[in-house]
Amino acid sequence: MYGVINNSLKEMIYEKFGEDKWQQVLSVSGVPDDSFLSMRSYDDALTYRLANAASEVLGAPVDACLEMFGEYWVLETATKSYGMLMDAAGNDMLEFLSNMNNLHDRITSTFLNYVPPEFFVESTNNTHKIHYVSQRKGLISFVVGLLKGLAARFGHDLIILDQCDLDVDKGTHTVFQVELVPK
Amino acid sequence: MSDFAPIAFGDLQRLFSVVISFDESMRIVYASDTVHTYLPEVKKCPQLNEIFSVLRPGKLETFAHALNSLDSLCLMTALNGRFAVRGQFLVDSFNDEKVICLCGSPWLFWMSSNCPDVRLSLSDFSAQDVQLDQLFFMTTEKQMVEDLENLTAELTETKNTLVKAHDAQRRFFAQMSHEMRTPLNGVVSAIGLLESQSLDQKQRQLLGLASSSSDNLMEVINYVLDLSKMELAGEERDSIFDLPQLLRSILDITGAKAKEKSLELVLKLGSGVPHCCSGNASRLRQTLLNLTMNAIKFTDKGSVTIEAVKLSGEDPNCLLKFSVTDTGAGIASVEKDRIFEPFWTAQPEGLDHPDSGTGLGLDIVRRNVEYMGGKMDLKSELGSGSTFWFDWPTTAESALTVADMTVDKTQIADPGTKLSGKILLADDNETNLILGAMIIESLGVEVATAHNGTEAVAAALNDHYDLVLMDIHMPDFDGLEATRRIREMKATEVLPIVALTALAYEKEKERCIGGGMNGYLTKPIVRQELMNELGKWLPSSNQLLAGKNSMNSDSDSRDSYLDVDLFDSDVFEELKRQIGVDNLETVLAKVAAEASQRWTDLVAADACDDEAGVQRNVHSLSSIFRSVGLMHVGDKLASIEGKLRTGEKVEDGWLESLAIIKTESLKALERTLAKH
Repeated sequence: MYGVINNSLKEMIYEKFGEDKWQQVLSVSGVPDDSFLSMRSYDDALTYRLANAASEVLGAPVDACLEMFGEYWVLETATKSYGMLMDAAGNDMLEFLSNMNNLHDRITSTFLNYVPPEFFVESTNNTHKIHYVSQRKGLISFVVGLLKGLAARFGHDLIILDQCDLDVDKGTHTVFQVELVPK
Repeated sequence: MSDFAPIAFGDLQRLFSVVISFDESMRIVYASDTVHTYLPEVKKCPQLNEIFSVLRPGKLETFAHALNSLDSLCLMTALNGRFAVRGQFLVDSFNDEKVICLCGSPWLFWMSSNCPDVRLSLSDFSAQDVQLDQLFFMTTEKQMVEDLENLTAELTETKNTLVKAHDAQRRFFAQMSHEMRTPLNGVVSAIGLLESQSLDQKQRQLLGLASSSSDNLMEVINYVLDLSKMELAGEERDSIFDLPQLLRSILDITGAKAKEKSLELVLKLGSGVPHCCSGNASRLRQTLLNLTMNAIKFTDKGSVTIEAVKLSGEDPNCLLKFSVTDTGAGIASVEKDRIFEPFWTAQPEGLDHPDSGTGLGLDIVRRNVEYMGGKMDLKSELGSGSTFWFDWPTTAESALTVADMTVDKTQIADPGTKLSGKILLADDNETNLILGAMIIESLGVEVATAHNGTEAVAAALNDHYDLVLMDIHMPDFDGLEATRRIREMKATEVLPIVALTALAYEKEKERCIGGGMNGYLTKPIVRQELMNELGKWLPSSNQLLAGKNSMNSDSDSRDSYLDVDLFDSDVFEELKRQIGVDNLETVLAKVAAEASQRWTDLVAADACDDEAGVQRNVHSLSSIFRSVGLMHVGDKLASIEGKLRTGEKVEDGWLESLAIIKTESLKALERTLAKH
């Protein structure tokens, strides 16, 4: 994963829990670097180690940490670092999700080692089925946070009515059945 | 219409989010959805120039212009400033009429700069359009710059913290070594005095152990002080100095040790070595001193030779090579790599010889040489002695060079020389006073003591002394203040004052000399160094016995300048003819006194930027020197006077450079006089 993810995780822990906690997380994770270059590709394992260490240090389940991180990513990091792209990607959550693959395609053409997830939306009346397909495992809670963060960006609360993990050979395919409730 | 197949606008719009078609009258006949979104007025089929201003191609007034620009980039901005397009022309047909279609997309770069509030959507760009990729690139570039800025800020902060910690550590080291030197001063001096007492063999053995141990401890403390000084390297400035004099001072300090071991101590200066050099004199001196002391320490018979030769370089820049060669035991080749490491000593582990030292000297030597921009190495074989050498880049500050010469210190130095005169020793520490007085007396010099600044000033002004040894740190007022008060009544020529301080810093030395003192010694008092310093100011009893009052007692300096460079014998002979041989000595003594006074006035005038005073004294000195045949220094002064008159810039350090030439010139005059 790109360094921007690790930096974001660091910033979140710094902002929400203070520098001491981040130093503890770093120490528990065994990750040697305190700084990450945003556009350098780091081993995925490093991000997982940081997330697990955060869970241990903060005394919270790793899923809760990942979900918090997902929300932080959308509402803070992406808004700050990719403001124009986020603005261009849509004026509501569904438009945004439908453009997400387009955006990821473009990033793939520039950053050759980039392995993006894919999102598909099936809508019926007020409920939507959001498909999350990824070659990675273990990031479902992070995606839940992302979706909640996106809903909040467009003035909604996201209610997950159902979550179904499909059986795939590699990675993850999860279908979230959600409802968007205006705040 | 037969030379192309029309393309449906729908297909075009799939590939290009912006499609604008205009006919031969330049009327817009079709526009894609994106254009309609941002420029609804295209619905009315206006003329192209009613909506857009064209940047590229340069001319687009007619259909023919467009046909001529099919291979060019087209850039257009909406007249309302809220939209811009970029693309390329394509010939197509619309309702069987020939049209030109501009195919492209919103001009993202222009819009994000000129109308950033207009929010474009991803769907305003077709999938193959690379402009969004550019936007992504720009974003990442911005992020990389931010990363760099953050990292730089972190590094700067860390560096500042480290520098602060380092400074604190350096101050601590310097303070600690200073605190350790003061009591050690007492130990070393007391041992030195005990050594001259009658002792039995066992006592002498124990004293020898105490002596070498305290020497080693002093070496370690000096090492720490030296390292602290190196940390201050950035604050050190190069100075102009007399190289042969510096080398001779090495012989002076080490001569006694060499004599004790019956070693021959030789200084060789190759021709072409500049007389007056620019560089870090104290480091060079320390480096050569360490190497020479080491060589003497590890050589039991034979000789130690210090040699300076010019390696290369066109004046004034040149590379000198210094070497110290001994006829000692030599060093095994396996040890050569380790020899410059701290704590390496010549003794194998477990066989610690009391005289083997701490092994810190060579580490300092290496650091010094590297600091001065040189490199060092050694050549040695077991049983065949060693040569430690280093090269040293410098700038010659005058055209004078030394002729080939060899000085054999052991032939001319007499460490048994006794001095005479009366010294005032001022120090607030009773132990220092007792030990200092004993050492001074052992040199044949009478001594009186003062316990503080007040006593020192009173004694110096009311009684006659040949010299004052002045401690710097005293309770009522310090040695510098005492010197200032004495100098109000007695000038440097009348009463020499030599600083005595535990602070072994170049800056401290500068402070003392700048404060009106004549010399500088560090504690603990080392007998030989004291004797060398006192020898500059006090007459030796040998000299008195010989009844010869020399203008300059530094006989070693002979031949370091060629007299012919400095002195015009024709002028001198003419003078002799005019005034007669009998009067020569008296007249020349007067000339020397007058020159000395004028020189003091010149230095004073220079110090207070009194340009007229400088010019007046330069003129007088030039005239005085030339009148007795000292043409080199006289001409130099005349040249400087000319520059001062015309307002031309005189090179930096001219006064220091001139001081050396002046001194050497007076010596040359004295030598000539001696021949008559």
